[in-house]
Amino acid sequence: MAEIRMPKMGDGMEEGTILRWLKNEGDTIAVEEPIAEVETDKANVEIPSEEAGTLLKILAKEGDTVPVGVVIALVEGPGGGVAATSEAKSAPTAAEAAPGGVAGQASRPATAGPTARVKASPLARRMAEALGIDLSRVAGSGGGVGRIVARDVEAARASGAQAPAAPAAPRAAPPATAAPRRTAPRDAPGVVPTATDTDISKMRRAIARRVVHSKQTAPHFYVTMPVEMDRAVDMLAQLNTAAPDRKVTLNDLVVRACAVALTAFPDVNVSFTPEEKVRRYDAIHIGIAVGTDNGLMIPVITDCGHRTLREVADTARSLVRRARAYELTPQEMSGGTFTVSNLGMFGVEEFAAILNPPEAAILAVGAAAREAVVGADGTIAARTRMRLTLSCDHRAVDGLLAARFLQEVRRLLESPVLLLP
Amino acid sequence: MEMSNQTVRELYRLMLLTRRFEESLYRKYREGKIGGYLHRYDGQEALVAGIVPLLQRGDFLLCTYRDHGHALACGTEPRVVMAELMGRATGCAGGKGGSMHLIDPDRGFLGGDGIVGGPVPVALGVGYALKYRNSGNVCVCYFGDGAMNQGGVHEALNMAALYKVPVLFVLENNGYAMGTSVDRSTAQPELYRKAEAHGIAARRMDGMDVLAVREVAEATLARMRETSEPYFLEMMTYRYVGHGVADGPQQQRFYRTEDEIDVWKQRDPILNISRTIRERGILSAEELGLIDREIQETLDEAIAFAEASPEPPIDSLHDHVFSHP
Amino acid sequence: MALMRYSEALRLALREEMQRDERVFICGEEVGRYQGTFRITEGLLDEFGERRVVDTPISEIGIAGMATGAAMAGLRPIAEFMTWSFALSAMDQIVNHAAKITYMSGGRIRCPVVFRGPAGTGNQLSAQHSQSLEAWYAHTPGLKVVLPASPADAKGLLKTAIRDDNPVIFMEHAGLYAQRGEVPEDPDFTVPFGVASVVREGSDVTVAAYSLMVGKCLAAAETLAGEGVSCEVIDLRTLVPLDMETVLTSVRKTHRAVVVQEEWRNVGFAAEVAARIAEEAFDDLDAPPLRVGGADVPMPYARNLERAAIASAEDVATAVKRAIA
Repeated sequence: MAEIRMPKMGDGMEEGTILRWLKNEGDTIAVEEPIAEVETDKANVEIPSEEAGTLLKILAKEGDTVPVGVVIALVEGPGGGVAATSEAKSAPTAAEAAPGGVAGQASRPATAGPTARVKASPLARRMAEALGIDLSRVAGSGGGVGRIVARDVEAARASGAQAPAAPAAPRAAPPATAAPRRTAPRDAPGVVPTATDTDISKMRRAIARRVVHSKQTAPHFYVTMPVEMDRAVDMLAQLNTAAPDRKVTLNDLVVRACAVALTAFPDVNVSFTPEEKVRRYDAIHIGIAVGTDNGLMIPVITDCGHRTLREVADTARSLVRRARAYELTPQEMSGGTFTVSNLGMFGVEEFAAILNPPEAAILAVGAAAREAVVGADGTIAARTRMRLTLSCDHRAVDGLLAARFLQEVRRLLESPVLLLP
Repeated sequence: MEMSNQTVRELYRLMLLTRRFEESLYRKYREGKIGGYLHRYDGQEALVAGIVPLLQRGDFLLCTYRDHGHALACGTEPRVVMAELMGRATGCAGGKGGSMHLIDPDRGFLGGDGIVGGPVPVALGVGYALKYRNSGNVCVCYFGDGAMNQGGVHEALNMAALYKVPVLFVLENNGYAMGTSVDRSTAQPELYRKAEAHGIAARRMDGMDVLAVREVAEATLARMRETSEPYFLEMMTYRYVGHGVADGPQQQRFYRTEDEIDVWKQRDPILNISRTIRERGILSAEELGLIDREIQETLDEAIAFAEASPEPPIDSLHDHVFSHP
Repeated sequence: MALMRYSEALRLALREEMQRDERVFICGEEVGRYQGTFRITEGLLDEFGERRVVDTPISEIGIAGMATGAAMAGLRPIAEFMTWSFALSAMDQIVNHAAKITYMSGGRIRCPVVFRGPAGTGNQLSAQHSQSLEAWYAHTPGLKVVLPASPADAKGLLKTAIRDDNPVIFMEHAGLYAQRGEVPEDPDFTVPFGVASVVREGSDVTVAAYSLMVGKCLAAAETLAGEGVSCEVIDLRTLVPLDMETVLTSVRKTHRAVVVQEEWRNVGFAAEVAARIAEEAFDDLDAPPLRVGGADVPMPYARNLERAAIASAEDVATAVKRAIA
């Protein structure tokens, strides 16, 4: 008998949610045949069976969220016996694995994560105990630190004991500028503004975890540099006039410039490993941040060092389209060594991006806009300028390197012919 | 004024008791039965024996942490003093005071004081109370040469003179404030002159001759009971042992010589009075031996009593922080 | 009842007690002919004479020692310090003598002395004359510490202090001397120690204070009431003995506490009260107990800096808002 476990289907995947079983218990399955559809942090994918035989037992129900590596089904191989392994028995079901019941059913206040200590006043604790209210499901409003205080427990009780409570409104906000007369005492529920907690998608959760992890472990620093883009804009106009169906965007040009610059500065194309080593990648895989209605996706243009500008543009166009259609595979979103994030099209002048782990650098691209520039001779001229902000993991990259790398990117963009063909 | 044989005998007995008591305390200290600093009076006995027995009902006595002899002289039972030193419930302060804070208010003894100069301002207040009541009583306050450099002492002396309070200030000038000699601590080593500067009648005298001390004290106290005015006696004396138990022979070499100690021991007050007793034929060798044996019995009994006494009960810890009506 | 100033209420208490008990006398700087630096002892010299109203030199050690000694000898002295800042010179007499003699003597000596005078900050008196040191005394076992906040309490608590058998630190507030209030004229009126007073009832936050700060807390409570916040203001009256029961009862009702003191915030008395609230009413708390106090700096002279250094009613209000946030 064989076990089918939740497979890891991309960087950073820690768990998957069974969306749909494609096979029922008793069905015969072949190697590589999809048996279930799973939602991961990044995409919905089909799990292919690694075993041939009969699907004996489905252990994870549809809707269950299961950590990677946990057995989700048992398959009886040709001629195999039927016996659940002890491992299978002990493997936590989704419900067990996710504390607080079925995952995704109840939102949980930020202060009360599975291991986080619940901050509550002694009185609130006593009240909650007496009322049988689970403090981990009560949102705190006190002390300016989200401490659960008596009024929060009161609110939780009023809104139906066990249901997660919205934080009560903080009372008498301290330096009230011309404070409006407080008329309603604490007991009146009218002053509590209504709010709704919404379950978050797996993607949202994945983003949340990744950015928190990134900001907490990688000490970020930022260098910003203006780049004159008049020539680049001219060149793109010419290119796109010549081949209107294979448009090259400004972003493609930036990606290509980064690829060339990374070839010259391989020490930026690195990761800082948990073993405290700097891992230098041989290939240059550049992720491009794509905003979708469901959240941020970062498909990867592989091997940018060996792609022409047109090839970069073609690949990027395809990835962006597939990202917006939610068609990307986890593989297409894995393996990046550097990321370009561009909000210039929205008129953002400049911004600083959070590193995309485990990468050590990410480039934030602002809008290319006309502005008055004082030339070396003191004359003022209108120029198209764009600001690039490079975020770096200071554990792996120092400021000097970051500045030099950015200078190289600028040199390339200001002499864009260097990025051709 | 000729002193009665009985008085001489009593002075001898008291000084010998004090000396033997201190010696036994040191033994008990080394046995670990007495704690703290333990400041001995060896050599200074005449100052106490010559004055304290003259105190009457209603009089008060204050002194320093070198207070064992004062307690004995004012009549506190040796066993009660010993018990206090051993930290027993039967001690004069129930074990709460110890060596530096012996006390016997029933006999007017308001206690030893652990702070150099500390008892002098208190004595001013006691003296003021006596004057307030106009009872003809006096207060005797002992303090050392080191105290004469404490500011509070001078405030008190000034005010004692100002208010004319009946306090006999007895300066036990043993030459050293711990390890610092008088010469090294003041440019005016005639300390009684400082009292005079405050307007208090004062004199310096030999503190090793108990009969002389007694004579002067008798006259002074009698006069004070009439006038209700302060008086200041600077008594020149010497302590044979260290400042406290921690001030051992090794340590004392930093500030004084064996020769110096020997010179003073030639003038030992007990030796002095023994000579007089012999010369005047006041007591026979047998009688002297009897006194010695009595003292030894008293000490043995005091030690047995103290050692058999219970320690203060733990639940008495918080008693007496405040007085309750 | 009669409407009178805080200072007059104090004088009335002194007069009544001096009339009532012949053992009571006053000593201090300028208490007699000058009629008192703050006129507290006005008229007393004429009425009671030099024996009972004693002008002293500027000798705080002497004053404190005189009062302590007289108390030990059976009188009931009242020592006036021109300000409590000057009492620092007398710390040894107060802390090492008055506070400890009862304990050191195993309860055999009483020390019924009142040390009184103006304390507190303000009036651009700068670093050495503008401070609040009550915590020093409250820290010392054997001293009772009393800080009246109203004319009636000034009278009632001072009478209790004089009748108490223990050393009492009686800190008046110069900023309250001119405050008027109804005061019982009954010579038997006293205010017991260890009984805090709920001066304003409320339901949201317990605000505990003493002395001048009580008034500031009441002002803050009035302001906060306009914003819908209900403060219960407690006047502790005596720091030793401390009436925690009244405080705890209130905290168990309001679930929040702000403790207010005038003295430096660091290691102040408010910390003691806050700690006891945390220890004894932990499960009733809905917010950490907060402290309000003076800035931890020697008092600056400049008006604006001084204002910034002294806790204000606004500071109290801000703390209350923090407590209920």
